[in-house]
Amino acid sequence: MHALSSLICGEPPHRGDLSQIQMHLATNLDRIFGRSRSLLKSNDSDEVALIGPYLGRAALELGMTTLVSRFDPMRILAIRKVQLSPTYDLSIRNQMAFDWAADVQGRGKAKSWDQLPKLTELERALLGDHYQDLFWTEAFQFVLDEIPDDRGGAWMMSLRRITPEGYTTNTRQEASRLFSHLSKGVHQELVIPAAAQFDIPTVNDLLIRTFELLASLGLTACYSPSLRVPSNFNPIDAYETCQEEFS
Amino acid sequence: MVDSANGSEQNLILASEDFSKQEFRQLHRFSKNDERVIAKLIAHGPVLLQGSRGSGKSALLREAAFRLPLDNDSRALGIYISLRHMPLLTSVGNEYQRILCELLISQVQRVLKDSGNAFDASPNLVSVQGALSDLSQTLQKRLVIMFDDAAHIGREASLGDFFDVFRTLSGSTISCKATIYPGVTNFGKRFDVHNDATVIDVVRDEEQPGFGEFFLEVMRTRYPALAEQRLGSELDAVSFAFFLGKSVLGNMRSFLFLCNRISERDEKVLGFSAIGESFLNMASGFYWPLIEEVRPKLGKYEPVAETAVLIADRLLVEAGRASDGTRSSDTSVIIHRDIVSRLAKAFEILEYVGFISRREASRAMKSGGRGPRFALNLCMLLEHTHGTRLTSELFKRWLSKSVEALQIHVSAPTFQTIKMPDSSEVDDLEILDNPVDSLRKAPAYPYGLSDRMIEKLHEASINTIRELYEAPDAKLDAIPQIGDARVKYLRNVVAQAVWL
Repeated sequence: MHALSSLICGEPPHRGDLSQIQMHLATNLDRIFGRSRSLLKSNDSDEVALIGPYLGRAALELGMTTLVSRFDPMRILAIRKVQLSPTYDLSIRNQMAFDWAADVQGRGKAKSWDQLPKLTELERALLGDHYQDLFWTEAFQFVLDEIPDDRGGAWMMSLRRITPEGYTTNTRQEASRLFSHLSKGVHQELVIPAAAQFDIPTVNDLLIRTFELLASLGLTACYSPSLRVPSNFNPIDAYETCQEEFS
Repeated sequence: MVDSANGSEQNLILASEDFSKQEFRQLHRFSKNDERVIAKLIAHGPVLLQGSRGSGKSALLREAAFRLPLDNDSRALGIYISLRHMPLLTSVGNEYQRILCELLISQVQRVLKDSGNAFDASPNLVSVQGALSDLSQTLQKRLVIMFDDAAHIGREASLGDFFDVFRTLSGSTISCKATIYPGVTNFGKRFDVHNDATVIDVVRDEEQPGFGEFFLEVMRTRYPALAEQRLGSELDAVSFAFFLGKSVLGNMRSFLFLCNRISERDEKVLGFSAIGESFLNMASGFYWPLIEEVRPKLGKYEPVAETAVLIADRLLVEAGRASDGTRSSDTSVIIHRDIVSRLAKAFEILEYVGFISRREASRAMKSGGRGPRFALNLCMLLEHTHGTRLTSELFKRWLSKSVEALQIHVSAPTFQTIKMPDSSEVDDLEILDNPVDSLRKAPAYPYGLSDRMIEKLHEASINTIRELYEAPDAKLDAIPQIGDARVKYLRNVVAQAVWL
């Protein structure tokens, strides 16, 4: 498995439906990272402009889906059930489908705990306020306190300049910027010549930032007491390997 | 920013924007991490470069612009523009935007000179935006506008206006980049710093791989004789460069100052004693005077300079206290976040002048709670260590990675009696009304004016820094013994005095 896939996937269950889903996601992530690595070395500007945004956005969506599957297996298992249903129609938009706004970004300010939110008012978006309170702040604090000063290179140095309380917001904003920019390349929505907006330096920057963001989320997830990580896996080694490969 | 190879202070150029393009390319070196930053500056999308005084922000912007010339196959054109322009410091609102647009128009015209492309726009935002968009279509290139020195540490009034311009111009074919200081918090009502731009910190941290090798390369380029200098038996070239770089918190401008000071000693063999003396010389002759240099540029925050001095003094005493010989090696300090939050502006000023550098935003403290970790300037710290001498033992301890950071908890007495003063009512820069005599060459102004030149300025009825800035070239040129070259020199001295 690619180092970045390992960070994002952690330790999948050894059997059952969730295991199948996570192995499938890991395989797809591996393929995308492999293709991206080749593209980052390419001098073919047309190829880079055409394929780069797609790879970046696919990595972003797959990475986030995988992380959701670890924190909230019910969400992904439910998607699987619906997709296996005989009435599932590929040509119709499905209400259960993974949704960037609802599952990753969150739809606005979540109710604070002292407002006693109902179960239906829980914000289940990966980078939403409730995930921040329940998982990310604690995990990121462990990242800051437990990773030795001389490990993690320039990426880790950037992380050290963020407070635990600011980590989720910071990540959410970067994810949003990347998603929007990459989407403009995927949907071919620019009616002006796009070569300049998706030239090699720009696409490389978008891809590297995407992988940096996913590696940071994967690393932090590995430090969350709520998630499983293989006992023989050292997250900071994997994080450094990703950095070496993608920057 | 750098001295020429002969090590003379007369040739000490303090800012990268004062180099010609040729000199700049010849004398500047960029680390792997710098290359990452340059790649982000070249790519499409709004970016804010954040770093303290002398950290190398301008050099990165200029380098990025040089790599995007008009005449190559690149899909982008870089336009570097320095906003060191006095009228911008004294205007707000529409007037600020008009002046900024005029500067931008003239800079774009300069970049396009002799290319056969015209650039015509009226000095208002709508017209400039339209003209830039047309230019991008004509050239079939996106435009990357690098705004340098947009934020002045002491004047926040016009920052909202600047970020309005920044946001309005940024679009599908135009990306804006700008340099800011860590203390900049006023981004105006329309600009959301976290959503509308990517903020990149320009920091050279000794924990970065290749830190020593990078500073050695800079030393070889700028001070080749020093890089070849015979060193004492316990020193080698890389650890020497690493140590100097770490001592000045990775600040490039201070590193070059320090190299300059050591070069001037003309030692046959350079040992700890000589390095230590140069450190003390930097502390008393460069860093402490720097606070005085910066004070009149702080505008309404001028009273905070005194608080910053008080904090620095107590911090260094605490860090340098050699109670048992082991505590004296603390090179960084974790300060409880409540203290830093209460005295925020004073800490920002200390970061700005290079006394401390924030390395981590939040670190756990032994006694509970969390706080940012700051690295300490070792030239300043040496002044407060037992014996004020750099010994072999101290050198090794300061180089060691295993030393724990000093911790100052919220209940510690160190800063308890320090209160933040009220901000001054005046939102103007005192330095503009200072007499030209304050530009006299001195430790705070090694690039300053000679007594004779100051006398000549007075004779021509130029008595304040504002009058000197506003004097037309012809008036300066007419002063006996001030020719073309001197006029340019005078302009640089004023710009450095007001902005650095």
